[in-house]
Amino acid sequence: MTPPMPPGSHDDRWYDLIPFYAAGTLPMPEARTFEAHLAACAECQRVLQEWRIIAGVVQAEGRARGRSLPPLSRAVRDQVEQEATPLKASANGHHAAAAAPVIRFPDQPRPAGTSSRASEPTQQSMRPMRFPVSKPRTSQRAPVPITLAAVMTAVLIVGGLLIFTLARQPVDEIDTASSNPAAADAVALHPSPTPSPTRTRIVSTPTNTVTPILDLLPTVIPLPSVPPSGTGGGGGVEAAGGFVWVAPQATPFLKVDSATCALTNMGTQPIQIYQEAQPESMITGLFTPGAVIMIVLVSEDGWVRVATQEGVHLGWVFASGQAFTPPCSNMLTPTPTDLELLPVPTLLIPTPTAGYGAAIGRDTFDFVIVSSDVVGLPANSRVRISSAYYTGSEWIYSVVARSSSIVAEVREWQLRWMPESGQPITAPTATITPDTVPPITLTPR
Amino acid sequence: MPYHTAAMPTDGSPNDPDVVLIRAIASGNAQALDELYARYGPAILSYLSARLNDRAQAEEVLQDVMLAVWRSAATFRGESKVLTWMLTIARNRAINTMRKHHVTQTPLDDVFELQSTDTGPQEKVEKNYQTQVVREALRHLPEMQREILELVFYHQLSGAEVADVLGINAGTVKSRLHRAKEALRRVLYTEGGLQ
Repeated sequence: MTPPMPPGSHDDRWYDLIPFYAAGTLPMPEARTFEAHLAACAECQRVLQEWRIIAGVVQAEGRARGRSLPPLSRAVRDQVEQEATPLKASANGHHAAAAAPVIRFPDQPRPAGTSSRASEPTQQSMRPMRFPVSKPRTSQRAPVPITLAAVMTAVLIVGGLLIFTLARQPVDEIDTASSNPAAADAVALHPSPTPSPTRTRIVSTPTNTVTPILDLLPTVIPLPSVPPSGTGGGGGVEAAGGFVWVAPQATPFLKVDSATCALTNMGTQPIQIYQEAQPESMITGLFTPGAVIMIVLVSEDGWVRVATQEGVHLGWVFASGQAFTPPCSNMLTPTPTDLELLPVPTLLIPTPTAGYGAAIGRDTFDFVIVSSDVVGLPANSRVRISSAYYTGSEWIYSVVARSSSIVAEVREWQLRWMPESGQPITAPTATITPDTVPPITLTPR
Repeated sequence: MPYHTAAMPTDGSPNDPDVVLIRAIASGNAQALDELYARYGPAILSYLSARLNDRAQAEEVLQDVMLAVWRSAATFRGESKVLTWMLTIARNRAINTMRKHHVTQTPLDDVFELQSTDTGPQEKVEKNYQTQVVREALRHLPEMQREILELVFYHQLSGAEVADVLGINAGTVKSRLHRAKEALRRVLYTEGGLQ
């Protein structure tokens, strides 16, 4: 989309990139090049600031319009129900059997190992009629009424089950309710007439089609799947190319390349970059998954000062528990004034890491509970997190009840890890503890 | 990220969870449709509400869009992101609806007035004077420019994806963005207190 431009020179073509940079959709190589230019270009900094103001308003309005999603309508559900069975049959290769009469000629061989009846509805039997059709036709019409009768019977059975389930299934299901797909359908057919603003009564059942989060991390292998006993412990695991810290209380999925002093975010969640080495300081940027930034300095208390690969100062990343070895443990011996080298440019959109990001998309109810009553969900109900979005200052999680019939939006403080399970991505090993992190001394030059 | 699932990259690849969902829908899995609706329903509803200026009508068209997704999932070739594909469907439906009902593209203020009871951080942001000024200015932008701003910043589409959804070329995307920005910039400096 954009021709290469030298980072140091201002060119009006930078203007075309800035809105996409502000939106966070600029591809990484272009974003890096632009950031290198941005640090020294007051004009682009000004334009970026304007775009960010606009972006914030547009995003807020977009979110407002998308709230209070109604459930899928009865008409859509009816259509889907009607069409689901033929689609499934088609996907399984049986669609032809249900829809078309069987045509078989005496000279067509049957597939080996099949009986006469079983082999009839095959693709082979549905070839265009190339041979005389006098004899077989009389007996080929029978399957049509039989199929219709079978479909009608199936509809009656399914309908009966739905009505039975609807009568038995309470609308507000809690942790102890069974996971019954039919119940989800039953609730969906009778949605709440007035959904509350913070809770949308749509049916979103867990499916096996959602890719588990670890499948999205091909570079993090092998990760142990067994959580450690207890919570709050620490540990890490050796992975290809470096040491990946996966302790619950530590910054997850950071990899240090001790040869180049590069820090890679191996996870799927962005990591906050702070203006100062303080958790309460302003968030100035986002260390995105897969990104590589350079270690400039490691503090005693687990903070790492980071810069772009071009040397542009970004801020501080909290990397408690991460092992840093020389030369990356103490790249600079800065004077106190070195800590205030440059004003921190607001290079990236602040997007804090989702605290429960590791549980998003996981198709289990083993990790997260709601800690307080949410509409329809009593405290301590098990939930799975289907998705999350960032409001500009906090993450809102879309959670699904174990019974699959309730979806609610909750704030981060309304969630809690299951006490007995700990966090979902953890490691049993404890080869490095925070005590072994080499201390760093900030001495005047 | 405004609404995308943080842990799920949506790059259109076969391992893209969205594509997995579409494949499941194509094979007749109704639950996958629910999952997709939960994931992108708010985004599509937001898009339709903005285009149609009528919340009830937008909700109605949203149902049509989901039915269209259900019926045409098998034709999804994975050449674009699922969101882009759904937005294209939604746009076509919105245009048809506008033609049918002679909808005029005048912004409705009450869409946001309805949401202003929120006590969350958004309310704090909206109370910001600068934000109010920009929001007001956005309402007076031509529909084409407003739509492109939404696709870029709320739906987070790339320039090429915006061009795909709107059926225009990348140069037009840039020029519309530029024109929208210039209009808003004037307001920001004259009324928004930007120095």
